[in-house]
Amino acid sequence: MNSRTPTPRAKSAFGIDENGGTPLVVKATRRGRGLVFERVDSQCLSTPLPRSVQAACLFQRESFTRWLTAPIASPRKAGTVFHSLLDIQLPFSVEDCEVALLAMRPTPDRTGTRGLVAGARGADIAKRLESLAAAGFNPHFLDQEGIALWSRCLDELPPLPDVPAVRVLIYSSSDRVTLIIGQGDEFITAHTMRVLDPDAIHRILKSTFPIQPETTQWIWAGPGALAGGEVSAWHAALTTRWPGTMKIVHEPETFLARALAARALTDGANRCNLRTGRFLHPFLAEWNERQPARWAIACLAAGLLLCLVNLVWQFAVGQRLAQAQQHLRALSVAVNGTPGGVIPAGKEVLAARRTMEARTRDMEPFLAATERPLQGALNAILSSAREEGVSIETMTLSLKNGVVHGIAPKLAQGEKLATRLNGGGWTTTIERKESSPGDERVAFVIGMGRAREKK
Amino acid sequence: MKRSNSTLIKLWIAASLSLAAGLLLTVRSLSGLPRTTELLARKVADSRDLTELRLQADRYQVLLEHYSCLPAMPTGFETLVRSTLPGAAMTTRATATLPSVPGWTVKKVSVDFTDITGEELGRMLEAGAAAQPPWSLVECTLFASPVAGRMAKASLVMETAGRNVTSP
Repeated sequence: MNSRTPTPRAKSAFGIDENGGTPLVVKATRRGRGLVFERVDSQCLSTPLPRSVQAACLFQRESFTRWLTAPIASPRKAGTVFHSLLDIQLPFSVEDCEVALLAMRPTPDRTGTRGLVAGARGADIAKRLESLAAAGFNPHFLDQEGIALWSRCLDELPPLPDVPAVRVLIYSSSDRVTLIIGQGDEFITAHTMRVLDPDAIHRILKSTFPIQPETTQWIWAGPGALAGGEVSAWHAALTTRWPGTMKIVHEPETFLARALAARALTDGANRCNLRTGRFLHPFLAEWNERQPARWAIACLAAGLLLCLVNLVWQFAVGQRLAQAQQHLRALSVAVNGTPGGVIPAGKEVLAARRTMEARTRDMEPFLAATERPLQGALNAILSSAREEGVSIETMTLSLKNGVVHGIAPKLAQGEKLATRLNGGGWTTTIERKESSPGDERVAFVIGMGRAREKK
Repeated sequence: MKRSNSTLIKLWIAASLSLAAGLLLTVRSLSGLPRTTELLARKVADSRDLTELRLQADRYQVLLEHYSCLPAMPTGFETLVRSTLPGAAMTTRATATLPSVPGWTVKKVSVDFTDITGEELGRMLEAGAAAQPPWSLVECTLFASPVAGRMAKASLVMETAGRNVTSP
């Protein structure tokens, strides 16, 4: 007991209904996130379109739907007993049927699981397929009429908070009337009758709802719903005992065909195909048979793609590293000026730094003449000393260090001078010295060293 | 049927092998990623450092080219002082010629000035800097004089660079 078997993703689907033996076909095509429906001539199905599927249905009189309750909370375990539960309920052997489990819900007390199943006897399926074949159809899917009508009703008329929760959908055709009862968005049951019989509907509703709801929403569909006067009369007859509002769906005559086409094309709740097992469409049977091979090919392709991507990645990384190394070598040669020199990989910067250190030492006289750092420092010291009121006794200055022996009325002036020299790229220290006897001024020594430039 | 099953089995074996190989390669790529990233980052940093060093080398080259345009032999320092400070009392302590960048030599002169003003010292240094090739100060020792604005003694070490000129 399975839900719909996997099928290829189709671009379009044809829903096949019939009204008094006349086929009624609707084509559904994906457009954006939605579907576009178009009524088409049944002749256009004589040559199957690529990537399109056909869906017909087993009428309510040829099939059944049941809600089964298993006293098991686990849906997985409950799913295994529904088959036996259904066998007990059916007047014929379930083994002769094609059955699909459509939905599972926990019971209100959460101690059990309810399952919605749809099915049909093999003989009825064979008969239906024969009748469809006689009309020139070979549908991929055989849906269940009541379930299909209910799901289309939910799509086109979703339940709203301000409309009655109990909904009765009447699909009226020339040869049958199908009654679907639901509450909110949940399918409850479906029945069929040859002609619309308000008493029979009353009995069905009474057995479904022992406590009568305040209002009921009556939804009309099918070719019979086109006769507005008749519908109003039937509605008046029904609402004497089950009062409620009336709604006729948009384009009622193609409602079932639309439902079948939409369900064949999209995934969603309560999807089913009763053309399974020995009745499976040859195309789907072949497709299913090829499924393992398709998976294997997909895995093989994925594996090969993975290998290819990784190999390309590793090659690209290798190339990038080689290019970077080549660039480094070229730069290193440009700095060292020895194209033939062997510099081990990874030591390029070290070698270049050593070369540049040696060259910088050699270039010092040239740089000193251009930048004149010592002359600038000498001027700065002399002018700072003058501004701070410091007298310089002796001063020794070289490119790397210096010593200033000074005297000032206060040590603070010497400290200020040292601070100012700090800003000029020197690192200074100041030390107080003993002044000459009789001299009230403060003697100090400022030691200077070139501050190391941060790289 | 048997043949189709054996083909399917072969297909699944090939798929499993290719997936396993793909996964192995992916694991290898991913595990090597930190090292590769680190290696590339190091190479980028090295490239940045080398570019800086190359720029420095280029600056030195430009400087040498500039010096090449100047007269090969610098003006004598004594001559320079005599023309700038005609009455200055100067004693040359030592002179030295040192090797430098290939093709160039550095000339160093140690001189002592007695009783010189700061302004005169500045003028003399400016004149040295303006000479072609320029003379630059590399070391100095100054002693204050009891007379304001004057220095009792100023010992300077000056240097300049000149091209090695080979006689024809």
